[in-house]
Amino acid sequence: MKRLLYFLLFGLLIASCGSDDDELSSADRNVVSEEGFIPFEELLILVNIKTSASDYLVVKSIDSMSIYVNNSYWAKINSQTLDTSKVDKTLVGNKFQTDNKINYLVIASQDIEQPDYNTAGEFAQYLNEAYDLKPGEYACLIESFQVTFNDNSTKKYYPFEYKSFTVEQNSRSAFVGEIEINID
Amino acid sequence: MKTIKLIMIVGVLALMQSCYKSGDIQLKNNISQVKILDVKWGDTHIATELLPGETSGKWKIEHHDEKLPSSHKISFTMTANNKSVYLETEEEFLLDQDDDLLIVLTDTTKVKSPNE
Repeated sequence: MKRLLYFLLFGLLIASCGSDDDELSSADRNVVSEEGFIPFEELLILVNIKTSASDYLVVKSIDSMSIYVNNSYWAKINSQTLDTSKVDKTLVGNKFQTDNKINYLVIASQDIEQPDYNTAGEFAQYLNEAYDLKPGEYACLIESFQVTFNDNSTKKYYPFEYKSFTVEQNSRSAFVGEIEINID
Repeated sequence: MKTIKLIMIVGVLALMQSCYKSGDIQLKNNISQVKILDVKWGDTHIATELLPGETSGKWKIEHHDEKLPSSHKISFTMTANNKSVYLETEEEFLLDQDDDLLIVLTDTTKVKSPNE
């Protein structure tokens, strides 16, 4: 019995080591940045959704948010999930809402197409596509997003909200700030 | 008599020398938008840095460097946008005696990272 337990533990250890490695593409595993160079990685955005002048939408997450930087596609991503059971909310139609502002955190890393990495051109494309934001001012656009309501119905919105943000020298992320979106 | 022996030895040596001919190798970087650094054919260094479209000088492979014919992969470091990756071609390139080999690396050249 003890021996079986050891085998199981050993098997789990091997399986966990393997799966971590498999998640990385060939380029992610083998590409290095120059010493002292801090690659820009992500945008941090706080989004709140107003359903009326004083009410905010309560959902687990904002899904499939399409983000553009200076009109270049950046990412399509879900916000971090919230435990809405702890939010003081009321049901209006098929929506939960609250009069306390709720911000949804969006951590947006750039989507880079991951080819098979079999040719020199594919590696070259990967190295060049990594969109390094140099220090300066940029415009972030929330083009669209989707929410799932209390009755499991979903709706896609196109707010086309812009917000400017600043990228500092040698920073790995930039805080875009709070974006208020009206869906009323 | 001694002179004839000496001439014969020198002749044999010259003949042996002429049996081993060198080969020339050069490489062109036709990969889009990247520099390639530290280019090697096997263990033989053939270029330090090549910009897109640039061709290296001819590198003479002498018999004491490598016994020809010989076939090796090209290895190099590809760099762009402050990022680098070490790659080698899947194909081996054959250099024979008296050859003047021009290797052209393009976007479609099959490569892999040696730790794959």
